Amino acid sequence: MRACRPLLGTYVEIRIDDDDPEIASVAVDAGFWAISEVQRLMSVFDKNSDIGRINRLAHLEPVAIAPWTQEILALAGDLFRDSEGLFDCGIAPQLGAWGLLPDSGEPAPDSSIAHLAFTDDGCVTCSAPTRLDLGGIAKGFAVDRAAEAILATGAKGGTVNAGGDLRIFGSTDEEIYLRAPDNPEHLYFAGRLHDGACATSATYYSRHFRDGNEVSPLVDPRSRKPLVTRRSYSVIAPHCVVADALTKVLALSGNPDLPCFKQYQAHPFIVEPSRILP
Amino acid sequence: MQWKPAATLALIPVAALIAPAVAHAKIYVSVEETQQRLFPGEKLTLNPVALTEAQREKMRDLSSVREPFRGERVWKTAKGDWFIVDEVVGKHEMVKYALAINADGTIKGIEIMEYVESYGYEVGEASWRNQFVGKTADATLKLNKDIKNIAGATLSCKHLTDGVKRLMVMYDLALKGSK
Repeated sequence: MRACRPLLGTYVEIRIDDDDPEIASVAVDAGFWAISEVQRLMSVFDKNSDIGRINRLAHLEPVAIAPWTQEILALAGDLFRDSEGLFDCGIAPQLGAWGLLPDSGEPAPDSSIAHLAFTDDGCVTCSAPTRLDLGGIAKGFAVDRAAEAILATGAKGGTVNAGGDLRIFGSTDEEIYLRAPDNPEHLYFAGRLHDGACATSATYYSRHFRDGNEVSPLVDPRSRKPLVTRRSYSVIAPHCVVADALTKVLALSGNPDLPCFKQYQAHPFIVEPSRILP
Repeated sequence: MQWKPAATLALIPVAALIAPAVAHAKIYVSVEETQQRLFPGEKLTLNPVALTEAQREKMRDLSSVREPFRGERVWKTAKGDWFIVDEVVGKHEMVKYALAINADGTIKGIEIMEYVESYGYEVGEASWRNQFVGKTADATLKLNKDIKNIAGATLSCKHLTDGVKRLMVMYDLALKGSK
């Protein structure tokens, strides 16, 4: 059974491999429920979501957040450290200025996830005004939660694909194709994956011009400048949240040999307009 | 996790493998299945809507969707809920979808019924769109080599959001309060 719904700003497809139509139907609903729950908690467009409240209040007072939000922020903090600052969910002010996210107008010049700290009772605080945007990691996180929710219904396996960030789970192994960055209708056969995830960062659908300069949602936290690239960056990893985040590290570093890829059991791919590295 | 990388990463021009103007087509659900998914166990009655030119113009203005709305694909439940099938054509895709509206005017659900990827072609041309006129799900499925797992950059669903907006405008103008 396959189903597709608009969530997380993209088309989310769930495929359930189970002969029992009743199990498959329950599993589809469970998967979409998990994804809409992540969207509800983590949308940067909703000022009362967990992320919306952190962005408005966490530098003033402790903000109580849901366990899933705690989990993703803890992981985002680990990835920030392990990537030596290349992965930073604190770049929302820049995206706001480029018209890619709502701009609150409040200054947060040093916005970074590095300011975030957890309290013992499940709250977060920020040592400086920070505006988080989990756009670089929430899709992958949502895909993982959907896969868990589906397996909990007893379904044998399947796939969840949130606009190109995908997770394979269960008994089958699946062919994975990557889009050619200069012509996304063309595909590369990349390999076969069993029980794992693949995510991609590229700007072929998202780049646009602002004041005559090309901007994209891929922002370098060191320079706060957009990454202008015609390559695409894909990562295979056990979980989609890690694959999703590490595509940004790969795109910004251009280096598939960074130690953090091995550390997270990840396989990076850089796709050139006409060839693949490494 | 087990990962077996391809021995050689050969480029596969999908468009060349299948029908020339359709890069990739996916069928998710038929009208009947979608109705059952959104309104389980309920009986829906076809309830076509005829729109005036003024109403169509207002729908265009408020949603920026240019394609004409086909009023014959509107259904109603005994409780007064609505089920509408519509299409939107984006820069990279054509999406057929169903919108369910509760009797109180809130959105009950949105389900994608069919998705056709068309990157690189003149999707606005009538000849392209006409390929789908009268096609059954089976006929379109034959065009599809069913490449299942495509990893890629995120494609925005903004056009779909505009489409839903236009249907909600239509609901306000023509369906709300109708018997």
